[in-house]
Amino acid sequence: MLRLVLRRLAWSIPLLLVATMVSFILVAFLPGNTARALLGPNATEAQVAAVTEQLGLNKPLWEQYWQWLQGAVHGDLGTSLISRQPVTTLLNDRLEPSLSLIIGATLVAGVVGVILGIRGARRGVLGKVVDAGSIVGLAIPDFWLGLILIAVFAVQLAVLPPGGYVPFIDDPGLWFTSLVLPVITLAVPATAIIAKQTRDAVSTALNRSFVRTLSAAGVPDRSIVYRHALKNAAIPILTVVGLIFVGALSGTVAVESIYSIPGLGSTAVQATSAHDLPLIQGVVVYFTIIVIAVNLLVDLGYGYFNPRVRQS
Amino acid sequence: MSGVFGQGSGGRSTRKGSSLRRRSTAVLVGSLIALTAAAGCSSSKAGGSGTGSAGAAVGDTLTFGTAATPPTLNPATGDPAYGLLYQWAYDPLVVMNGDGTFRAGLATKWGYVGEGNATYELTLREGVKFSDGTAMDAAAVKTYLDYERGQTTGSMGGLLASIESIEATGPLTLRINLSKADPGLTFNFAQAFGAGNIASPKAVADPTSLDNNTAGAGPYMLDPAQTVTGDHYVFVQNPNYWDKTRQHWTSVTVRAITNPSSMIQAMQAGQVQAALGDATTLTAAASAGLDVTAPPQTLTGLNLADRAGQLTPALGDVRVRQALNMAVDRTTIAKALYGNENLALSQYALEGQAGYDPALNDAYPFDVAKAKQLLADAGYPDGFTLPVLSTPLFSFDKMIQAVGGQLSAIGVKLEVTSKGTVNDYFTSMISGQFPAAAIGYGLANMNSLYAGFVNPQGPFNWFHTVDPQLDALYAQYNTADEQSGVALQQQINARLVEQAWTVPVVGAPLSYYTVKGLTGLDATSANSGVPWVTDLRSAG
Repeated sequence: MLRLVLRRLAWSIPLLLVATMVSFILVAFLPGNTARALLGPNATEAQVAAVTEQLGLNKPLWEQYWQWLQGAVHGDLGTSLISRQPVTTLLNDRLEPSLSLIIGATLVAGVVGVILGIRGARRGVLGKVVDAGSIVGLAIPDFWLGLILIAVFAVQLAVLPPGGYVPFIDDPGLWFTSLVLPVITLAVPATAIIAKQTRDAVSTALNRSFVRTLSAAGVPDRSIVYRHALKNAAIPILTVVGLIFVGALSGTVAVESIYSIPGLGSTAVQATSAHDLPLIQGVVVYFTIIVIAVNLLVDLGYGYFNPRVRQS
Repeated sequence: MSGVFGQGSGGRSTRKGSSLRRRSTAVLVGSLIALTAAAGCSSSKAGGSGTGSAGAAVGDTLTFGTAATPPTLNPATGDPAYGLLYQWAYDPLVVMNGDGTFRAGLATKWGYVGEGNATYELTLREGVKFSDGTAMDAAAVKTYLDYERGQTTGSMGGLLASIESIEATGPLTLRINLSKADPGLTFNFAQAFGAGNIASPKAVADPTSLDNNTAGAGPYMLDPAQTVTGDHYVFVQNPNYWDKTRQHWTSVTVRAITNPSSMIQAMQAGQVQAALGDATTLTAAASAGLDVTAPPQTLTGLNLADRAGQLTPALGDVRVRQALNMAVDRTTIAKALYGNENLALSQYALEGQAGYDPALNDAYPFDVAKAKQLLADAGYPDGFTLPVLSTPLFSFDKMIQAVGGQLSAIGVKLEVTSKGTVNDYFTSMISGQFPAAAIGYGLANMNSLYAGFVNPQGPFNWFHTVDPQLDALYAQYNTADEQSGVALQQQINARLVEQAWTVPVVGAPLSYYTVKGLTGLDATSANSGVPWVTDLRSAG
């Protein structure tokens, strides 16, 4: 297991390199101009050229990347070209809201999805409901759902705030209430996927011969489902949960916009629109580290549920 | 045991299962419909009563919603687009009222001296201190203005480009010497453009301190501890402010809400009390029981930049450009896009502005037959194809689609290329690849119109068109006194209309939403739609 962790950590470095290199190249192909974004529309070509040179944006791409990398390996992700704040400061402020949202949505989707999936696997009719519900849950646009939830719970019933984010350290109660609607919005499609996956995996496990043996031996149904079948179904469920967590990173863009949450998703969009290269690179680094961490946790989860993985 | 295997058997179970399936499906669908209906009811309930959360009692604090936040809080390197945020901390030198007149801000006297608009003098208000405790005097204002006019990022440096030198002629008096006649200084110093938002000299000595903090002489100052850059900015009362009666709030929060529908919902829920509106939600805001102030502000239309016909020869003929103007039914487009046919625009000034001439509204009455004839006279009886640059932002795509539909009646086919971001749109525009583009240009006076649009080096004149008659009019206008300047601005307006530099379509509004119980928002076309937002206060 330790070898697995070390192997994963060793792979994370070339992965970070590749991810940041690819994003650097992709940004170069993006239309638009950082200097123009800084100077505003009335700037003359001469002014744009001067600022481009001042910022070093006219240097070869490999030189710009090397300069950035030299700082990055020392923990300095540079300064935002637009706001002139250190990238790490900007992103650290936005990490908590995004992680709160993603972790919250994954937890809710995981718990609700697994419960629905198990119940669907045990009762044929409910299984069909889970299947239908999965399609509906995936089809509902998150934007529409978010605005509807705000209209009902924030405006009509006035029981939850319509948007904004309160840091946990400022007020845990308000932190929680500020996350309820955004988490539900992000969790609905994820719940649909997890429920469907759980139902299929648990159904498959329940139809295996060891379950019949356990049942014949008088093991209670509840124990068969939750202690045995679910454990066998855990690997594919865990894989899906991991994928959902990673997918939620991009899902936060829309949700953060609807609920005005200052997170990494909205920062990524703003940075890309403004061609703020250091900030874009910073977001890529943060996202890549999160993905690596999630994959590592999923692998550790595999090891917990599958002894063969533990021993490898 | 059957619970584990889950599957029922037999006809009775199948019928029961079918019934359950139908009920489950019905419940699911019904829930969705109910949720949508409840949301709809919430909007109509708030709209119908005119109160609801939108009329919740106004307290001691104000939250002002805006769609975008500035890259920096430094007013010298910022952009007028973010003026509604800077204003909380920075009083301007002069304030422009809704009727187009000016009143004292940090300056109590201002204006040109001598002939030709080449020398400008200011007398500052006594007893003013910046939020950092530094006294405001002539030396302090000179320090800031010299710093500001040296900036190359943002718009402020350009607004003060005509300043050659600034002298402190007394403790509270300044003389500004211009390198060329510039009639626009007073407007530029007012709140709309914000070049007169003065910061403390102590902050100018350490300019990076202005990026994420404030050092103005306005009624409030930033509280960095409570602020999250790009999300919300919290302003607390400036203890050194010169007029305590103008500090209407214990604190003001400017909150970024990028989604226009979310903005209205935040106001309905009482989280936001005033906000910058959006053209797409004007009707929804009114239905939600909010007060809507929406003065026309931006010339929106089709910029026929290729006036020499380099890419599209047809545009080189003024008759063609005039024909395009005649073929567009502005009233219908204004009503369709903004629900208000009075926003239709045919000229380069808005009602209430100095250059406005009501006679110019009839310069190109909607007349498809006459437009066709004019095209035929110019040698294009079958029309032509016109590549056009646009963007979905600011409803440009919708406007261009509407214009394109109408121009097809005279055989002119628009080939529209839409760019998704402002940055991309501007880069493409100035690249010279397109003979025409959707345009949105804030109208204030002919001086500001020259800077970016008439100026051969301006970004909105990317084919660098020069018109000797316009140049001559501007030469006179630049040196004219205020009274003569009015007539000259009208003549400039008339020349632009006659030469059909664009197809103006609507004067798009700059809109504001406020909850019931607020007053003081004085935004009109005359002050370019930008109020002195610190006048906002409870009506009770």
